[in-house]
Amino acid sequence: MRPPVPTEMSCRELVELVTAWHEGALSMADRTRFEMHLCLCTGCRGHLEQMRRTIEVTGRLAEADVSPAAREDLLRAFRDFVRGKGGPR
Amino acid sequence: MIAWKFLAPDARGPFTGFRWPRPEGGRPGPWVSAPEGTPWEKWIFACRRGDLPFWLDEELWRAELSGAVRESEYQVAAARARLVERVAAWDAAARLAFGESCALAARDAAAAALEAAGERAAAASLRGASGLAQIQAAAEGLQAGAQPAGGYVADAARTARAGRAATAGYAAAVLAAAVAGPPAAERERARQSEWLALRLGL
Repeated sequence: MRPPVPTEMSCRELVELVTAWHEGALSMADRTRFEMHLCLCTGCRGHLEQMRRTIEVTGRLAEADVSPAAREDLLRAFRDFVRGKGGPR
Repeated sequence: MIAWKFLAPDARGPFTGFRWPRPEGGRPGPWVSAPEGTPWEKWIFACRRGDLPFWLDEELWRAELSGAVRESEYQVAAARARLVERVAAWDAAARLAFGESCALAARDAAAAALEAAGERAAAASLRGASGLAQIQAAAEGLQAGAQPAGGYVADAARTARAGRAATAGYAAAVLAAAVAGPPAAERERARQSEWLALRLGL
């Protein structure tokens, strides 16, 4: 017997999983919960739509497309931002 | 195999944004296929009748599935599918009526549970409410002892009024589970499926 109300997914959890969903990396069970949440939540639906449009506009950039030098520059920038320049901790 | 597919406006996939080719001139739309070798989890998904309440969206289409078909818990997956025709009866009025049926089911389930718990005044207040606005007001006016049932009823009525049929159905199922356990929620989902099949002629 299937649960008539599947395990709920919170909006926070959905936001954390949205990249994995885009990459097709979620398990079938999590993908079902993710998409059912979207049927119920207009806010998360809007978030997904914004993500989709951003990807359409900027094109697809996979991790492998980033050169080692650029990757190091980005990591350094993020590290500095968190450590001493007012960024979130 | 004939199944059903809920889509966003303009026959767009509600999650992927994929634009489904529509039927033209009384003929089904062209076939859409998952690329050869795609695992079934990434095939095309559609609903059996009992799956419908879980996936409500703005447009409902009759879809033909072909090739390999795999059934999963809440949907069915196929390697190929095409849209056959739009279910015109699933319109704004039907969405509102579906939501109202869920709010009424929630009202009755909550009233029965409150009565069983000795909250007779609260139960009578809910039972006396008819129409979505009245049900919402009655549920919102319940005291703390009548919660969380009252909150679910209010949610069902409020979302139904806003045309959010999926959320109204969800609230009614969650309430059923909360007051009478999982089998009651399953019965509520089955009621919703029957309602849709009857109203839409599926």
